[in-house]
Amino acid sequence: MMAPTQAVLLRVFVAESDRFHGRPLYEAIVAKALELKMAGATVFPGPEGFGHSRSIRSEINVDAGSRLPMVIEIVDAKERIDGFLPVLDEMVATGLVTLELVQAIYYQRDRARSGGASPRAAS
Amino acid sequence: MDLPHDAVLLRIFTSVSDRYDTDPLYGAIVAKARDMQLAGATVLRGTLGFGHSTKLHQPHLFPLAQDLPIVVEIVDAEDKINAFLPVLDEMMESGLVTLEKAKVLQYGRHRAGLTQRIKEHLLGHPHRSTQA
Repeated sequence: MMAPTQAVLLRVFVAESDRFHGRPLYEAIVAKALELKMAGATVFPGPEGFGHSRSIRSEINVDAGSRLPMVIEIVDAKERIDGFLPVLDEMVATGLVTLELVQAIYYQRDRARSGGASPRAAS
Repeated sequence: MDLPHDAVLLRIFTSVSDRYDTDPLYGAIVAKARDMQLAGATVLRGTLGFGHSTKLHQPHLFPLAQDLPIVVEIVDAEDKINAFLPVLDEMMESGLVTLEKAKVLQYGRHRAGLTQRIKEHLLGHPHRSTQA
């Protein structure tokens, strides 16, 4: 079994309707992470929540519009996350960004299950 | 079945299309966790993402692919999680597995000492969730 390596989980809490240069912010963050070859990114929609504005946004509240919560998660080595933070800073006008240390095991095997860690895991 | 206060949160980042034999991988992981009597498992569905397991999951661009991100979360005692990791290792072809420390305040209906635990937590009981 591959040994876990130290990594950082970056979570960005924004609203579905937040925009960056005309496109959804969460989508722009994922595209930027892809462009900067981060290990991966995942977006989770939240059915309800509130944040800095104090207004409760809920799926069942029609007035909420599309201000529903979106959480973007990125896990990568600490130095790569540190490098991504200034980029993120330019993109997120309002929202919340959190960091936590995690142990990570990256899997990328060929179909023959030859085993072996991904290049990222070795970094 | 009980959970200790100091536990581990195991998260498995995979995708809807990942398979274990013929079954969806996330379903197989949940079934295996149940077989091994782990405390529980929760499957979360992402709407967009990319990673080792897949190309960009983008429902708008690839409406037919349905290859969306899936995260399976399992919380249990460290030894139970450690026993599960080699089994999981056999099942994973691509994707990401993360481990972090977690404090358990309630499991099912059992929450004996919950108030005490919260009090200890607030009074600065050593909380190592951010230390791996």
